[in-house]
Amino acid sequence: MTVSGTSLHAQLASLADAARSSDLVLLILAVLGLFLVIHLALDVFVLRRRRRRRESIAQESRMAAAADLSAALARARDSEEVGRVLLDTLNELIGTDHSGLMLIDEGGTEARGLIARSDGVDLDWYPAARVDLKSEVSGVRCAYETRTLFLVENALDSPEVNAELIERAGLKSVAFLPLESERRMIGVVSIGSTTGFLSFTSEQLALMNMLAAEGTLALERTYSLAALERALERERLVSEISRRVRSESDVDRLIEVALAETAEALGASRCFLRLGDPETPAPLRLEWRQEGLDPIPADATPYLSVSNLALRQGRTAAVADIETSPELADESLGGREALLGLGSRAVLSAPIVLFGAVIGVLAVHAAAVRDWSDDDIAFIEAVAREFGMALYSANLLEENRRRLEQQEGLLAATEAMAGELELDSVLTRRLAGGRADLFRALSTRDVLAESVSQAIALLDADAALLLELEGSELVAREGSSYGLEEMQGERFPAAISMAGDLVYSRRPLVIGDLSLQERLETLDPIVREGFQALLGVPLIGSDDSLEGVLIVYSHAARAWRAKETEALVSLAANTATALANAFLYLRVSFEREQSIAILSSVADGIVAVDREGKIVLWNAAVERSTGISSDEALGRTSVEVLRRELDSGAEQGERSISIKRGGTELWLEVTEATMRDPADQIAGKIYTLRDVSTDRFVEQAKSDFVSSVSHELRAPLTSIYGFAETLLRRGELFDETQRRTFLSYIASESERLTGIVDALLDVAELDSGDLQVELGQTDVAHIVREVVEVARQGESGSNGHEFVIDLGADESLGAEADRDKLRRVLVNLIDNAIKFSPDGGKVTVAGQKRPGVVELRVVDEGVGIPAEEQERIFRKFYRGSPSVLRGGTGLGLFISRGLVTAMGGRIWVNSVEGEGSSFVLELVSSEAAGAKSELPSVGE
Amino acid sequence: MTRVLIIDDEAPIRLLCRVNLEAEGMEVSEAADGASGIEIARREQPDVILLDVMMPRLDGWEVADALLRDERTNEIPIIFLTARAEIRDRARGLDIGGVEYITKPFNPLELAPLIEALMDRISQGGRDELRGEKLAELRALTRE
Repeated sequence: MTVSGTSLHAQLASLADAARSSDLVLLILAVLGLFLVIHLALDVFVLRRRRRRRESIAQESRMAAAADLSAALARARDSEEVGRVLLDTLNELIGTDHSGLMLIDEGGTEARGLIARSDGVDLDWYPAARVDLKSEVSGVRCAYETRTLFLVENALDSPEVNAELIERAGLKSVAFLPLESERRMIGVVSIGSTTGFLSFTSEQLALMNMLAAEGTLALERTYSLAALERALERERLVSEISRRVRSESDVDRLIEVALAETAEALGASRCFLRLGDPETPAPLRLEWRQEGLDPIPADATPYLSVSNLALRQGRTAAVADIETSPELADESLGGREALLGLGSRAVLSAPIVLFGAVIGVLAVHAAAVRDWSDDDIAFIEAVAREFGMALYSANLLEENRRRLEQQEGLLAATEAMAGELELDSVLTRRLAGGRADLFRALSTRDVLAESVSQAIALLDADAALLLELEGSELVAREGSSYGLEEMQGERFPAAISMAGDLVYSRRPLVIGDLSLQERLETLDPIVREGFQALLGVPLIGSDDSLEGVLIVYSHAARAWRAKETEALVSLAANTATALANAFLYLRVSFEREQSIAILSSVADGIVAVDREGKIVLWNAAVERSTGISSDEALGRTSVEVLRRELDSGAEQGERSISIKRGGTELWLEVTEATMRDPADQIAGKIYTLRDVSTDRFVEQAKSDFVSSVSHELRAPLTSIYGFAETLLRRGELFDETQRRTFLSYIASESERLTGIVDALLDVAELDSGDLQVELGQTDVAHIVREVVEVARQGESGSNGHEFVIDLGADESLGAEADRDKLRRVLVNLIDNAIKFSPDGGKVTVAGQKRPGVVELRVVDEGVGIPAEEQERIFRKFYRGSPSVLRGGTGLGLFISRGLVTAMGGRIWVNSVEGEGSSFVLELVSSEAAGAKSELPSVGE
Repeated sequence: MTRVLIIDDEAPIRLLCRVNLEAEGMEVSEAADGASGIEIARREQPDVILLDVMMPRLDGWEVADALLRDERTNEIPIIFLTARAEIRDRARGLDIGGVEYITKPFNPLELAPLIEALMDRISQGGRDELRGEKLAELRALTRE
């Protein structure tokens, strides 16, 4: 019976018609009919409402179940726990007695059993269960491929399920429920009954879908957590390697450990390092391998095709399967066989790049086919960078700037790695971001300040304090916020302070609510500031010693999460490394300053040039010897500065060069040495410049002296020997007068010879200090007349000089002198006057008394002596410039000064170039000498 | 008759040469310094010049150079007469263009025969050959 509005309307209309026709029977029938219709209609209405209400109750219970599950899942720490909660909830709400969860790998090739629950217990065989999603028939595969629920009512007979699994679980009916995240299918839940055949209501199906969605979210989250933990773990590992890179002096030992750790982190069977450029098959430096594996033979390097590829391309090569990888088709790389022969199936290899050049390669081998993830790649690249650093540091520790560039490279890699994380990557990013700032700090002070401010930012803490361990005390070095910055320098006994716990355990100190820690509250002065929670970690130094502690504080009680602790541990590791770095930099700077100080103070000139030949060091000695300041020299080449190439082109050596300084020639003995960088390229050269001008001058003077003496001796000998031979000629060739002349020459030249020998003896005596003078009252005037007379006689003919004696009014000039020696001095001065003045020139010898002294002057009208030579002429061997050179030993004035000084007098010269010279001789007067000795003056 | 010019600042040496050369029938003129020596050489065109090296102002090397540059005197053979005994000095003398080098002290009796032999050789056109021989001798000495 159907009732509608239209038919009810028709009934009422017929009722009215009946009333009008007064047909009572018909009216009653109509009323009864109407009542019936209304009643029926009401019934239908109530039924509909009831059903709707029932449906809404079911939906609400589904929502409630999902909410409960969601809350339970949120507490789950890992995927196994998530699985357990999800499966138990499903069993309970759907009323099944078996459920299992299989996870699907990223590539969608295989499903692996995670957990199965049957009657409230785990099925122990289930985690080992595997379903091949490519080739095997299974319900899991069906749900995976169709991405919808797949129901099998009679599992025992179905050809679409995996009979082995069904039999093992003893399932009669089973439903396969796909777990699909936004990105991909992550797993399949199987839910079924071992007791009877099942069929599911649509309500149950809806509930299952809803719970599956909750489970999927929870699993995703645990994946992200695992990824974050892995990332933190790797960050720690890189920090650790980085720390050791900067501290370990034995680079091989360091690399050995790092290779093992890298292999472990990547689950590899081998991990090795090759060093060399891409052009040659870079030899194997070190290898780590699992126990039982044979080492890679030394001659196998040409066949390590994946690392060869990384070397050649200068970027990371990731080969998931050696057998099929198209990249290895290029036979020149070395083929596939050698790698397979090593028991390897997958290889990941990153080049080690230093200053833009590939210097080697790092590779890990896996025994099975393996898809290398972006994380794996970022990790091996970070390790490869650290290896580069290790090799660099081992060779050269002076260029902090470049190291910072390396650190920034690492930062980029760490950031890329952090970017991979979908959830809660903040810590990693903050850590990585802070790393570069830490390493950029050049002083320990800056590092500490940076570390403290990063610690606060990292954990959103209220304050932080860094204390250094000094003996048995902790010294506050750096603090931030809430007055902690005022604590610098304060000392706390490590034994009683709260931080002391850290010192002894060397493990993180995690206190979420200090009010529960009465003992500590009273003991640690910092807690009085009103902090309620703290997290402290040790700072472990490069030699594994405890250097201090880093603590962050919170005003409110706070549950520190494990990954926050780990992040702070990582920051502490970075801080320790950065401190070591800063210390190293300080030491390098200090050594540099020291080197510069040493180089500046050495007597020899030192010039260093860079590889372009530009001068980078020009020390004070070079400034002095060349007269060129370092400001003028730096940044220019030696040719520009000295007009001479210092570089001989040889690796090292010694030679002499001459340069001009003003008008004079300067002789420099150059010793050169080449500096090489770690890549064995020429980094620059160092030249030692020794000014040998004086040595050369002395050498030249000595050599000149020898030939002068030779000449001076040979000239009189020639006359003596020659005239003797002449007199011995046969025949009566010469008359008596001639013979007498010859004989007088033989006599006078013999005297001259004697004079020269005397002069040489004088020099020897002056040099050895054995010169003896016999002082006595001497009439200087008498000696002057005597010597001038001899000179006048020697000078005959038209070229003879004119001699003038001017002794003033004094008839006698009494002085304290050695007569013989004074005569020699005068002879010498008059000889010089004759020698250096023109023919016919006037030579004046004047004498006068002055207070306490007798002064004699020998004045000529000769060429004169330049001002700069007036002192030099009294030096041994000095013989004036070549233009006025005329024989002589260069000893006359040297001896004269020696003799005069020995007699207690002085000798010097006044001269104007071109106008003649005046040699002045001052002797102690007899009166002065007498007064001194308190003896009466005795005239001669 | 062979005409000889002696340029030496030492009077006894000039006299020594003069008496011994005149005794052998040679004609001798003297100069006491380089400048007057060059002057006399130009004027008198001697057959040979005995030249001292160590002289004040213009030394023997400079005098020889001036004489050899001047076409009036560049054909006159020069014999250096000097107390400078080192090989390098002898080499320098020959290098400048001298033909012989006599080291002081020397036996004055040997002076005239040496000059005569030299003149004979040169008159037969052996001047360059002579210098070549002398240089070869020096090279041999240097090697020792």
